[in-house]
This record gives sequence, structure tokens and C-alpha cells, in this order.
Amino acid sequence: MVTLKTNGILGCALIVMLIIALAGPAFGQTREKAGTEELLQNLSHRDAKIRGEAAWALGKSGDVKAIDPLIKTLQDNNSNVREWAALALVKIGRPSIGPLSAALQSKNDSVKWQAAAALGLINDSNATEALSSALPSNNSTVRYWAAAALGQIKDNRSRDALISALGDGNETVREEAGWALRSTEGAGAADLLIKLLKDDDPKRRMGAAQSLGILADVKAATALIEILHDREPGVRSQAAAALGQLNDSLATVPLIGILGDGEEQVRREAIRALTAIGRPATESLILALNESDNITQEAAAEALGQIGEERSIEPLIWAFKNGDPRVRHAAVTALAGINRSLAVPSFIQLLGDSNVESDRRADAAFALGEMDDAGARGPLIMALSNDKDSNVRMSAARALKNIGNTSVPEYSI
Amino acid sequence: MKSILCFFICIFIMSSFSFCQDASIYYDNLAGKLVSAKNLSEARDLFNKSLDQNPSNIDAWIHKGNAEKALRNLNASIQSFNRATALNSKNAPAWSGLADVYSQKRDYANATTAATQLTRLDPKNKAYWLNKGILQQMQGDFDNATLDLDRAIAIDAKYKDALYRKALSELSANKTDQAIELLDQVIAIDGKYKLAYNARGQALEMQGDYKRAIAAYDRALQIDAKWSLALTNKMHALLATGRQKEAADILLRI
Repeated sequence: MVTLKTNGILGCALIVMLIIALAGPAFGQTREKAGTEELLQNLSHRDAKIRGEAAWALGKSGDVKAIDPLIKTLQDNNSNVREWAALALVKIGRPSIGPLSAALQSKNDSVKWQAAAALGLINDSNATEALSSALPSNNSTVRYWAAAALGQIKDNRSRDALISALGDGNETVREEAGWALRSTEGAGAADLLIKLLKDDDPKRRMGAAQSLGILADVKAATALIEILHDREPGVRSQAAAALGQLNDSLATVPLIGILGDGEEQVRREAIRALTAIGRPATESLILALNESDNITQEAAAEALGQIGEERSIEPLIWAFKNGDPRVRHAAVTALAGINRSLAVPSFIQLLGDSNVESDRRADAAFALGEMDDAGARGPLIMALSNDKDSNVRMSAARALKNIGNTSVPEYSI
Repeated sequence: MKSILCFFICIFIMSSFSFCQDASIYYDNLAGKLVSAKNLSEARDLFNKSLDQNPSNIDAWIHKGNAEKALRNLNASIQSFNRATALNSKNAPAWSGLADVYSQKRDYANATTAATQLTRLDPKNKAYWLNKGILQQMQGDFDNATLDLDRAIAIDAKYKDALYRKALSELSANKTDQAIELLDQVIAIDGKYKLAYNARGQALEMQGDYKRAIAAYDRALQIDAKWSLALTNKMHALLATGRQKEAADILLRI
């Protein structure tokens, strides 16, 4: 009886254990399934924090079922949630490549660029073709991110697409395509970009010049100097900017050669580049002050002012005495930036010299005002009281106001 | 009507541009998220990508510096913060990061240099003066530490951390009365400041007043019963007064 009872209890226990053993895996699976399901549901939760957490948890789970919902989450109205979804897709990795590549064809540009960004971070050459195809997209953000992603992947099958993108109408896209080419080509990037400086497409020439500037490889200097006289102003200006980044004094004379360019932007970039070259450019710029046209003189004066060497003071004063009003103005601004006290005596002398033309005397008064030197107050008051020319008196009065603390009697003007 | 229309056009234009992001900033943002999720190595990779895109991204250098610090790569962290200060010598978070990492490396001289930059950048920031003062104390330069701590106290007369630190400087110079006075100020500001009770106990011990020293340690232990430093100090004071059994009891508890 006892044995029977014991056997019965043991039998029951065995049955229970068997049920648990059989039910165990199923229960575990259900729980896991419920976990993913719950997280997927949470992607639509009204609390953005919960949506973001769910996205990241799904990414960590590596469950491929989450890929499509996560791509959909790239449209979430909260940027944090979108970023978590992108990170989750990157975390899932290779299984995401196909769906993300397909998302590059989405109608939603926001989804497209984020898909491109995620593909770049997954960093797998299986995405090269899809990303290269996205480079001619209508949307500049998508083009930018396609280039950025290709730059991450560094697959040289993307070279042609990136070279095309180097001629993109959008400067940011051109810049990113240049970065991607540099990243993909590595040591060979400079040679490729130098070759592209002779491309038929002016935008591509601009992109190549821009990228060479960032690369700062001095072997590009000669090729960049050659396109300083390109027929497209954008190319000339980009070449000048790149030469400034190269900071090679070899470019000084060619850059001075375009200081008289008809395009303001080209002149600006040339001045900036010469300023970047700095002291080694001073001597040539001083020569340009003496020997060139007014536009070049004006630009040379500005560059000398920005370089700020004291040996430029005399030549700048000479330019003031001999140049046209614009050159005089540039010389004064430059002198004010270099060393006011060294230039002041020359301008005081000019102001008091009745043999000097009246407009030059008026500019000398203006210069003294710009120098803001208290020592000029007396001569300016003299000019204000005694100069025969009303323009000189007016200019002296304005200068005195600049110097400050001087009351200017209206009647004396 | 026209202005309302303009407003909506502006909103539309802004919203259409809002998704356009610089790659360097985007990667930096993503990396920041990974840091918050404690995935530091992956975050560092993303910071590197951010800086690959734009080596002038100061924020990314600082964030990378913090990630490297958390990964205990102190030299790499210093390099990152140095890059940030080279890009902008007035960047307080970068100097602050440098001061912190050098402190962790126990390189107090360089930490003090960084802390000095912070006090120059913002002389009205009491925490910067306190930090510099503490670093001076770590190098045993209590006189200069007191000068820095005085600057902090001048900004906030009730700055308990600075008052406490100044008391430590006074203690180091055997000026126990002045130290006790400062510690009493700290306790008046914050009755739960256990460090002040403990330091007060030490000052009283230095004066030979073991009974009151033990009482001060007890106050510290009322706040934190398991605080080994106060327990050890109390044990020492008990031994000095011949209360060996009580001292032994504490020894067993530590």
C-alpha cells in the first residue's frame, strides 16, 4: 500500500517534471517573442523616451524582425528616437543592408539620408552600389550622405560616382564627395584630384581644387597655380583658396597676379591666401604696390595690412601719396593695423603741406582719425582752423571726433 | 495675412532644412547616445569618425576625451582635450577635462596648469578656485592653496567645501584654533558634513583634547557609521586615552 502510494507520488512528480520540461522551451520562446513584440509596440509609444529605448533594445537584440519597423522609425517626429533607430540598425549590422538599401529608394528624403548614413556606419561594401546609385538623387542632403557613407566604406568601385559628385551643384556635396574620394583613394587621392583639375566640368574642377586645398599636399601647388587663370571665376577663386591652405610661398607671385582679377571673390581669396603665406609674401606685395594697376595696389595694400610687417609701412605711405582714393583708403586701413605711431608723423606732414592736393590732405586727415593717435590732435585742430579747403576742414573735424574728447566747433568747418 | 503667410513659408523652409546635418555633428550625436548607453568603445569609434570628417570639431574632441577617460585611456584622453584647447584656448570644458584627467594620473602640476587656465577664463567661478586650491594642496603647497581658497570664499562666504579645504591648510600649519573655527563654520552651514567633524576631531587631537576629539568622531560616525577613516581616527584617540578595549572593538569592526 505504502509502496503503491510512494509510486503514485513519484509518478505524479515525474509527470509534472515532464510537463515542465516540455513546456519550458515553449514558455521561453513565448517570453522572448513577447519581449520583441513588446519592444516593437513600444516603437509607437507616445513617450519619445520609451520609443528611443525600445529602438535601441531592438538593435541590441539583433532580431531581424525589428529591421523594417526600425526603418519606419527613421520617420519619427523626435530626432532622438530617429537617432536611436539609426544606431539600432547599425547595431544589427549586415542583415540591415538589404532593407536599408531599399530604403534609399523611399519617397521620404529624411528616411533616405538616414538610411545612407546607417549604411556608411555598417561599413560593408555590399552597400556600395546602392549608395553610388543614390549619389545623383534630387535631394542634396541625400547626395551628401551617400557621399559620406561611401567615404566610410572606402570601396574604390565608388570612384566614378564620387568623381561625378565632385561636380555637384551644391558646395557641401562637392566637399563631402572630395572627402570621400580622399578617404577612398588614400595616398593616390592627390594624383587623382590633380588630374581632375583639367576636367571639362568647371564644377568638378572647383571640387577638385577645394579638396586639394583640404588635402594640403604641396605637390598640387603647380597644378593649382595653372588654374588661377581658369575661365570660370569659381575655379579661380577655389584655386586661390586652396593655395592659401597649401601655404606654399611658391604661389606668391601667381597669387599677386590675380589680385587685379575682375571678380571680387577671386581677389578676396587671393588676399586671404597671400595673408596665409604671410611674411614670405611681403617683399613681392611691396613690389606690387609700386608696379601694378590700382586694383592690384589696393588688394596688395590690404594683404600687407593683414600680414602686418613694419617694413611695409614706408611703401604703404608711398602708395598713399601716389595712389588713387581707393588705394589711399586701403593703405590707411593697412597702416592703422600695423603700427599707428610709426605712420602718424608722415600723415601729419602731409596734412600740413599746402603743396599737396587738397583731396590727399583730406585723406591724410581721415588717416589720422583712423590712427586714433592723440599726437595728431594739434595738427588736426590747425587744419580745422586754417586749411583753405572745406573738404580738408570737414575731414579734420571728423578725424577729431574719432580721436575723441575734442569738441569741434561747428562754425570753424 | 501676408505676414502669417510669410511665417508659414519660413517654417516650411526651416523644417525642410532641419534634417540636413553635418556628418561630423551627426556622428558626434550618435556617439553621445552610445556613451549614455555605456557602449564606450563603440562610442569612441564614432567620435573618431566624427573627427575624421571634421578635425576642427571641438565638441567631438571633448566628448572623445571624456569617453577615453571613462575607458581609463588617460593618455588618449589628454591628447583629445589638448586638441580641443589647441583649437580654442578658451574652451572651459576642455581645460576642465584636462585638469580632471591629470588629477586622475596624479600629475598635479599639469592638473594645476589646466585649473589655472580655468580660473583665468572665469575668475568668478568659485568651483574653479576650489579645484585649483585642492590641487595645490595635493602638491603640498598649502600657502598658495589658501590664496585660491580665499578667492573661492570671497565669491561665496558660505562655500562649505572651500571653508573645509581652507581648514585643512590651517591644520597643516598647526593652526588648530583657526582650523576649528573654519570647521565650525562648515558645520553651521551643513550639519551633515561628516568630513568637517572628522577634521575637527583631528584638530582637537592635535591640541591634546582627546575627549572632545572622540566626541567629534562620534558625530561623524552618527552620519556614516561605517566610515573607516573616522573609525580609525576614533580608535587612535581611544588608544591615546588608554581605552584599549573600546579601541580593539573598533578594530574588529573595521
